[in-house]
Amino acid sequence: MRRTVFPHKLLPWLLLAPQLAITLIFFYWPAAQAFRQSMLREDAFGLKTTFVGLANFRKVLSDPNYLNSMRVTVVFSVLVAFFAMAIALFLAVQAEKIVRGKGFYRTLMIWPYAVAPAIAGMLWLFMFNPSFGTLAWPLRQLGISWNPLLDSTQAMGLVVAAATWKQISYNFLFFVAGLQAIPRSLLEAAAIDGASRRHTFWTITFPLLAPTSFFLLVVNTVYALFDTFGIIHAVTGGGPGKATETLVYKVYNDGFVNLIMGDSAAQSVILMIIVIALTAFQFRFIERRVHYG
Amino acid sequence: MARILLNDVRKSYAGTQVIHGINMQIADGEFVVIVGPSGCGKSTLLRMVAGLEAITSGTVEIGDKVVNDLEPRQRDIAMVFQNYALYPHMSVRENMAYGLKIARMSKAEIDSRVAKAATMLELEPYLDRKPRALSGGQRQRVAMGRALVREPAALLLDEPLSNLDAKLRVQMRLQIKEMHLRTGQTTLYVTHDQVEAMTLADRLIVMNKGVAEQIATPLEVYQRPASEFVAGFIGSPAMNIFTVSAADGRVTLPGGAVLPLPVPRGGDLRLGLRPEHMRMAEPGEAAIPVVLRSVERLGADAFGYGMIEGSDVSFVLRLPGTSTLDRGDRVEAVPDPAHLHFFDPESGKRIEG
Repeated sequence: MRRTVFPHKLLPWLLLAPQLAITLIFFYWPAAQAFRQSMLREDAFGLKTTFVGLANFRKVLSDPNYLNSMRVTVVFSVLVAFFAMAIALFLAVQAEKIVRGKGFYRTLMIWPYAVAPAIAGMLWLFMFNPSFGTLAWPLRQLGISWNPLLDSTQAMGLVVAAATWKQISYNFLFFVAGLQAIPRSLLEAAAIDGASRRHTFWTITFPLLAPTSFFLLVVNTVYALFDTFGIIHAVTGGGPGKATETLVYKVYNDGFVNLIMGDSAAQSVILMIIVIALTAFQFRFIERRVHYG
Repeated sequence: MARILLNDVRKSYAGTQVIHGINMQIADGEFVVIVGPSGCGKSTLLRMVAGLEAITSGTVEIGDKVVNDLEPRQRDIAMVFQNYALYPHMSVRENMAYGLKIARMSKAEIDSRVAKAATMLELEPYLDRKPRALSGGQRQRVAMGRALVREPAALLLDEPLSNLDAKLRVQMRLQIKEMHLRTGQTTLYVTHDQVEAMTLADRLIVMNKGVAEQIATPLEVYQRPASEFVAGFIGSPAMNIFTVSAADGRVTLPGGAVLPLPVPRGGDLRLGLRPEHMRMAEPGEAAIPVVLRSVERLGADAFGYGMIEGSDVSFVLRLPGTSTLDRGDRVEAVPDPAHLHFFDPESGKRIEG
């Protein structure tokens, strides 16, 4: 890489300033606030705060509700990341085979990404609400006792489906780009070497997509952990019981609904540590297996 | 080992025909080169034999079996691509073994075949490297190795040397020739390079705009080009071809000079003369007057580039390396009567004299 040398000491800082300002204001400052808050306890009326050290963390980590929320988050994130990527990859591979109307098909596939999370949640709610849902009635006709407002497995299924549906577009775009970057002649060489289409996919296409897949794995994990709040809020509100209360949802619920600021802040600090650790883990151990072309 | 039979093979894309009926028999063990300028359909033809392009009409047979509707993997062929198409995430060894593993060959057999190919191509030190850690010439050899280990009925090569530098190209050309002598593999080789075509081929297919202009041995193509296109394409520097009007054993050149030549018929003709089939005129002899514009000295030879006097028809002739002629000089050239080429001005076809 070529090093660019600026003649001036101030200019590079000036050029970096907008980016730095955004990061400082929207990440470091709130993060620092959360960190400070996590060490404080506030009285019910918000009149005085006391420094309590790590007491909030101890309380949160020994709370069975928090551990339940942790379990829910793992299940939810793994399912969303897996299905969002697998379905998107399948659709991208199919889209490659289309000869006519490729652009039209791709545009249609990208639309769900333009839908706001809360709206997406409402759409799924309207479709699957047990009393007025468009698709709930046919489900019941099929003999399925459909009631996500009472059945926790069905509720989880519904939020996973909604969150997955929303993320497929994004993954689809990247997979399409990734597939196009694979030289046609490699697939032709494999065909001549005697590989069937399925074998070619698993031995040539899939390994060469690894950089894309790895990137999407990181992005989807973060998405499932953080950006699905709106969907859960709209579809189940964390219920029934606490069956779909993910860590992020619990942060919101404890902090903004129940107004237990200290607990909520401690939880968000823990969440931050989890995400940092997870991403570091992904880069450290999974990226090693990725072949960059 | 097998022969390949092309029977009136045609190809159209959305109504536009790009290959206009190719007929050819390639004998078992023969090395055939398809040569032509870019866009002439030579790669398309090869890809149709490989099964990578559908055949619009006609049939392709490999080893007495019509393969039109067979997948590439069912055709018992191997192919070397212009950009090599090595699998970037596999080592050299894995690249070569890929097809053998699919064929469910035993581990021992795979190892022995890969080792044999690696020895022949001098690739042993690189077997565990990834393609990106190899030079262009090494990658090219891996691509050759991957094709050879499968011991296919026919070997197809699509401009395999065009991404190499000039020196390496000559080296690889010799290696390919040697390998063919050793394996006796039926080979179909596509190139736009006439030197590769002339040196490698048992027989040539010279293609132009989707038509096989001539199918013959390299020497025959050089000595008796079947059309004006072939005459201009094969040979370096290119043959001089210009219009003359012929009558009674004489031709009138552009610029008005008259030359006694054994003409096949009267009227307007295209006359082709190779730069190397010319000699200087004796005093008083009828000749082609050429005014030189530049002289290229290559050491052994020199080539004089100029115009036929009194016309704007360019003319090239070979001069001795020691020639002192230079820009602005006037020379008189006499064509060798044993090497005259006449073509029909309308069809471009050769007229036998």
